[in-house]
Amino acid sequence: MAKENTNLDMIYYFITSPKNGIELVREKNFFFVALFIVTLSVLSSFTGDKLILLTAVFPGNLSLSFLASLLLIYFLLFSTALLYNFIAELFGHREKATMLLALLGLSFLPGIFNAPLALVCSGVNLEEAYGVLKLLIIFWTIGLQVLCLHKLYNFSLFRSVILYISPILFIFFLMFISILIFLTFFVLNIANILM
Amino acid sequence: MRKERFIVLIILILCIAAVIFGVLILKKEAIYGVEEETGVSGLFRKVSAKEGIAVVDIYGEISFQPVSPLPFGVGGRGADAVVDKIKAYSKNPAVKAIILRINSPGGTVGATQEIYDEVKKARKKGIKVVASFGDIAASGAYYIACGTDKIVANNGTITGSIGVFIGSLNLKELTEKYGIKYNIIKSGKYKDMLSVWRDLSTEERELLQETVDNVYSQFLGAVSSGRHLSLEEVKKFADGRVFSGEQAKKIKFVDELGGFEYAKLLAGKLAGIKGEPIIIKEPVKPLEQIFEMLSNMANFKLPSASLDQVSPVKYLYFSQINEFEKMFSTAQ
Repeated sequence: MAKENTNLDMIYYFITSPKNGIELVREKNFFFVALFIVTLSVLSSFTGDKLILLTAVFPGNLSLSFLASLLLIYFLLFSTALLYNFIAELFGHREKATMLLALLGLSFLPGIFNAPLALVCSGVNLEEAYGVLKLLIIFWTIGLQVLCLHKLYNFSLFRSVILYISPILFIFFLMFISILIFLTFFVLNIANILM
Repeated sequence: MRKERFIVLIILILCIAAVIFGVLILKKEAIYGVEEETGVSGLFRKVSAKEGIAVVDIYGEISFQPVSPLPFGVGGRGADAVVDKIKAYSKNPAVKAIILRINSPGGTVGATQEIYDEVKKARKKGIKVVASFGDIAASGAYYIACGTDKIVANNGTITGSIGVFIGSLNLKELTEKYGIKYNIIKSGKYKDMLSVWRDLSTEERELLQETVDNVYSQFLGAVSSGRHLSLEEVKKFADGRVFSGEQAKKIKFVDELGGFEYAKLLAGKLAGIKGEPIIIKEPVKPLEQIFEMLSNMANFKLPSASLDQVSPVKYLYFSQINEFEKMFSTAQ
């Protein structure tokens, strides 16, 4: 089966029947296709968001801004994949990290629809609808990623969800601490100026 | 399976095409700025490359002092920020006219003149500039307006106050009363002119008067050339007095009476824009967004009094009427 299936088949299965898609990735490594999907998805999301929100976050530096977003997503993807694998190993489930990376990367597939949806919403003056559709895409992506963990490590669905949110909780905790430290310094600094 | 492959291929191609199309639109927005008030919304607004007018706000005292304590010049860099905005809009091919929305009692001479010069430069590039007065546009603020093509004021706008002053406190008697003494070692006899610790000598008074007269003549020249009036005509009313917008129109110190909307239409007409002109807004800078958000979170405001503490002595194109106006507003 693996030899007959192409990259296009894998994308087709990942959209229509994710379970079969995941099986396909387990049989044949689609690592570089996954990286391509992540790049396209980030570019599509970036373009869609900018088109609807109308705010140029980095005016005149669109490419730089996109590159920064892409590097951030890659960093998060690699770090979370390593963390998932590490936690899974603690529970006695060992898998190849590259396979998990490929699966998590391919889960970004729904993100490629961001730019076309933004164009359609903008074209028919339904810019508010983009927010709802974007939310659906995010849930779709999260669903795929949880399913990947569930299938890859043979965890129960509940355990897969816990595993999925563990690095996010960890990152949020770190972000909260960082913001708290930054704000404390910021407020103290202002107090010094006023004194 | 061939059919499915074909469908996936088509989806991928469409997604990639949408991304390319979106990026092209974003590029256009980065060059031409963000359009507002077009009457057309959605994608069609973004695709059309319309010409429009830009608005530059000149609010409060005109000075080089930063109006915000945030780092990296974020949140306002006084006159420099105004100069930068005019410069940026002059380079924008979609901007055909600039409205200077003025609500200021004036300010320091250097800052005023830098903005005035930038306005003149913009006009040389073929951009029409219209000044629209709010509550007050006096002294230095009026100086800047003289560099524009047309001045639009409200009937009750306080304007005029053509003149210059320089001054300092004299605490000599107070310090003597309390036995406070001041030691100073100076490189030249005039180095501590306008010191708060002693009286001004006659010689120093004459020197300062000469300088004030020189700066005043620059102001007169700007009004004369900007308003196409002779120096004698300007001098008749250039004794520091203020006018209402209506009075100013009678003596040709302003061109039209009206509000911002009228100024917008006038600017569009001067620039040859058909119909109601669109307003082109400059994109918000990321650092400004972040720091504004953080300063709001910290609920921080800089007391306006502290802005004056950097330089104790300065020449000013400034209207004292603003102080009375503040008192009047508070009393109400």
